[in-house]
Amino acid sequence: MFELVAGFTVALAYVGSVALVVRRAEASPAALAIILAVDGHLVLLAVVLVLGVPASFWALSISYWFVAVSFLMLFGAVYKSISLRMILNLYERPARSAPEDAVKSGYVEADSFESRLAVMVRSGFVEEVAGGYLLLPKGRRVAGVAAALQKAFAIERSG
Amino acid sequence: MLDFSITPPLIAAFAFAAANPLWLALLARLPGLRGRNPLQFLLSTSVGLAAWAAYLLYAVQSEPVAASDVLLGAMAMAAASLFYLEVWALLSRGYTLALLLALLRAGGPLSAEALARVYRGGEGLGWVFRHRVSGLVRAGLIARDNGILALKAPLGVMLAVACKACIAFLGLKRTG
Repeated sequence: MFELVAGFTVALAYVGSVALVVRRAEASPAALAIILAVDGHLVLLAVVLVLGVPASFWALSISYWFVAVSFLMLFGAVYKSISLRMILNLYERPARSAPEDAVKSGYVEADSFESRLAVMVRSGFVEEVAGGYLLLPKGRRVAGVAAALQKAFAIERSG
Repeated sequence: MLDFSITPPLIAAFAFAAANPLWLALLARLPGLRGRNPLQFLLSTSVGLAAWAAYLLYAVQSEPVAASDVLLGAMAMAAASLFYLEVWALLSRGYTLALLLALLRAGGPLSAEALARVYRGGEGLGWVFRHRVSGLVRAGLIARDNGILALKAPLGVMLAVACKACIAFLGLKRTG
């Protein structure tokens, strides 16, 4: 089926473009991956229109997004998963092992925590003030939407 | 030339996929499933898939359903489930989002130490460590013995190698 092949091919090209762009750009890799995914879909439709090949929009879109969303899932896990980072830390240590306290204080409570605080400041969600970290209007909006969604889905606590 | 016409099996797949958050919101309120986020998600996805399969069985009695529609419908439902899973994981496990929520609930500025302390309703950052470690131990990826964490072979090592390969391929400078 033409749509399946075209969708998969452009989606694989999208994966390759993420690998190229993330290396060179300074912007957030997650934001780049999402923007490029949308661009990839537009490129796919444009190519089909330019070639003048009769094709089903839905079959093209489903084929493309199936691969793109699967990739985004994998990308998110590799980029932000604390569990995978812990596994990598252990892999890089001698004998592939470490004391629990070292992993907890060195990574979860320091490295990972500090990098998230830095991301929150850089993204304009919080501001560092004399008393610590203050939620800015943008952060308040995001947190408010998240709190509303958590209520809708009866998620009592997160983290 | 793009053809925008859509077949009934695909419409049904989109409709059942779109209804996933509804099943999820209902299932999350069942007393037996309270707080069991992964199970809630698994069940809501299963309900959607079962409903679509039931529709296909019903539809095939009146007219044949093309194999390509079954394949595309399954791919659409899988893609939608992965999208919801990404959002759901962010809401139920997101570290940064939980920090923002802790600040929102505090109602004022918090020092890094105070933020670490009030994280997840007062459980603190230690909870993140305990939760992730217990998950990794249960999955057979690491072992925990006398305060030492060790990567298990072959599963843990294979996952670490695959993860390193992905990071190298994607050119990510920093992860986690």
